[in-house]
Amino acid sequence: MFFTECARLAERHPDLAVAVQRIDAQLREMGTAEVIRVDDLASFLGMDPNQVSAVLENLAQEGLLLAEEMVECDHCGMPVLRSEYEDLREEDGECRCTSCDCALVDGGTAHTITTYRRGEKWEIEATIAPTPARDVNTEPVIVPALVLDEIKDGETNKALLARIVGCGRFDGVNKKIGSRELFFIYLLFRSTRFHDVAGERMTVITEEEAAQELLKWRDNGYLQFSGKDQDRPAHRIQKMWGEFVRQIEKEKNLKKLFTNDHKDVNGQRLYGLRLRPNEKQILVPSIPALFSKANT
Amino acid sequence: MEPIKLLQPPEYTMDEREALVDFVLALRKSNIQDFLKQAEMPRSGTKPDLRSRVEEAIEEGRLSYERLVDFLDSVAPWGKQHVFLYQGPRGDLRAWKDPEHLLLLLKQHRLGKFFNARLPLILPDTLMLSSVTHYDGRLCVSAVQKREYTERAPEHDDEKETEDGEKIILRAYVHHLTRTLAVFEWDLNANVAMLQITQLQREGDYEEVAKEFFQLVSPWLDINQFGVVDLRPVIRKLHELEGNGHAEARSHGIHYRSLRGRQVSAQSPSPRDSVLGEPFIDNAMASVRNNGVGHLGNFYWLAGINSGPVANPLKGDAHVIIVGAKSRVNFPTPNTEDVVRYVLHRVRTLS
Repeated sequence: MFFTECARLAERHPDLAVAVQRIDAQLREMGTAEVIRVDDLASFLGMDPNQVSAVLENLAQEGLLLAEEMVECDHCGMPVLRSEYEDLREEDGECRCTSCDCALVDGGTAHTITTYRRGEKWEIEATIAPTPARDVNTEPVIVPALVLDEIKDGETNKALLARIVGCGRFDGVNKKIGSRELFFIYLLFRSTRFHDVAGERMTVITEEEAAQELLKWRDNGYLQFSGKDQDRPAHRIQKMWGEFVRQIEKEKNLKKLFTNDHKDVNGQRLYGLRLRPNEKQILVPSIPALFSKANT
Repeated sequence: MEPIKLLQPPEYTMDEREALVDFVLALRKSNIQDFLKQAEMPRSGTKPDLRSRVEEAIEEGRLSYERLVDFLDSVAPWGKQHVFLYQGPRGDLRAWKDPEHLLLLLKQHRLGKFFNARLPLILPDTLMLSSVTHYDGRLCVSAVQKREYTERAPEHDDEKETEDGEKIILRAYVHHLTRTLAVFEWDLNANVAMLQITQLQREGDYEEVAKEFFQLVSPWLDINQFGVVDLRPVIRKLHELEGNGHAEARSHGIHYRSLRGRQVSAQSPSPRDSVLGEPFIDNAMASVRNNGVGHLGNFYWLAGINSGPVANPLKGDAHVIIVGAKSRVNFPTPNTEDVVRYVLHRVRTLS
């Protein structure tokens, strides 16, 4: 089993073990969970909804999942947290569906369901970070630490296409970069995928993503490579990364910021930037625009 | 700024008076409490408590209906609403910037009494002008109308039989009486304008209300000089920004139409979550975005994200629906003035 909570549950309830195993694999595949419905999951896996319900309930008790009581719109199926539903009924006298605008009346135009979200014990592995609801009272405004920007002083040429500018703890960084550095920087700065290691959250891209993008850059004429690597773009990525890190670390403030030491849950190599996804920003208009500017 | 003159109100009917109290009590509790504070009345208690207090104050003559209307008109433009955005006319605006010119124009159309004044209307049967103000480089025109509609209420359905044993099925509808406030604001310095219409019933015809409003003011203000802002690109832009990790709004539902007429939409699993988050859907929607036009965008504008020179005043996420196909912005929940203005400013910038 991937989740220790699932393994423990299967040990305690041997007759549920098969169901637990399949749900464990599915949760791992999903990477995270927002609104899991028992019926949908049971249908997708072709399992008994009662067993699925029992497994999810147990995993919620273990803290791997979080059970949430929702009021679901009968018209379009959009759920809202019961606590928010109650608050709106108290405050505004009514609660309307956020999707179809139907007036929600529990037992009339809506009904109560229990859904499951990722719990506190579910450690996030590499996944796409959705845009979460933000609590401004507790969460600080994040100012980008590094920005990918255009070169403003007229030194743009085929060798130097853009620059990395630092803010805050990276104040003073103004590193001009060429196409190879731009390739990794652009991918990492664009990425919202993250990976948590020992309490540190870093932005990552998978080797497969990098390899696919490399082929696009080659097709667009932004990067050239030939020989055996034509058929093995991932291998090419590995070679390019070493050179990329060597070049980028010539700027002392950027040392040890980039790493390929980690792998995702599927064992795929990750290329990472030790910044959170919201700590970097892209200000360049587009990659084609940069190359076009450099060629003029 | 001179205070706005309150004009002598028409004789209110009993229905209007009762409805007015309902309208005020239907506002958010925090709004009602603000009003009670202004009126130097106690603010604590449940909504029924507040209602009793307001009704008692009216009966004892400590609170006038005009004051309630005035309060309602000050809050409603920032409540649940739909907004059309316009670009101003290209011609010379110097005359419009002169308040005296506007006063003369209104007088020519026997509307001089409305200049920098407010007629506290409650529920006029037809759309009626209530105010025209010219302050701080802004021309603002307000109009009010009564609206009635019914809403299906299946929980009150019933069945019975005739004496002959024939089955009678009774379908129930709840009758609603609402007050529609339409406010046209023209920023004469930026030369941009907007028409705000308080939320109508579900599937209410905002285009029809806008048409009625512009017919009402057409003798002295020609809307044909203004261009409607196309909001369809805003849906694409917000979706794209979120996909690039620079979200200004969290998507709750996105609906595109391809150039050959096919429609695709995606909804987030709940209002707290984004449409984005599952790569196979993200990739499909990115492809649709690049080959289609934003039809409807259901977003939560994010607090704490500064995306331009104007500071973001949001203290919590604001629910904003961009009806691209109709070029209007819907705020389905009440907000404050600074939030509505900020979001509209950003929508305009992204258009």
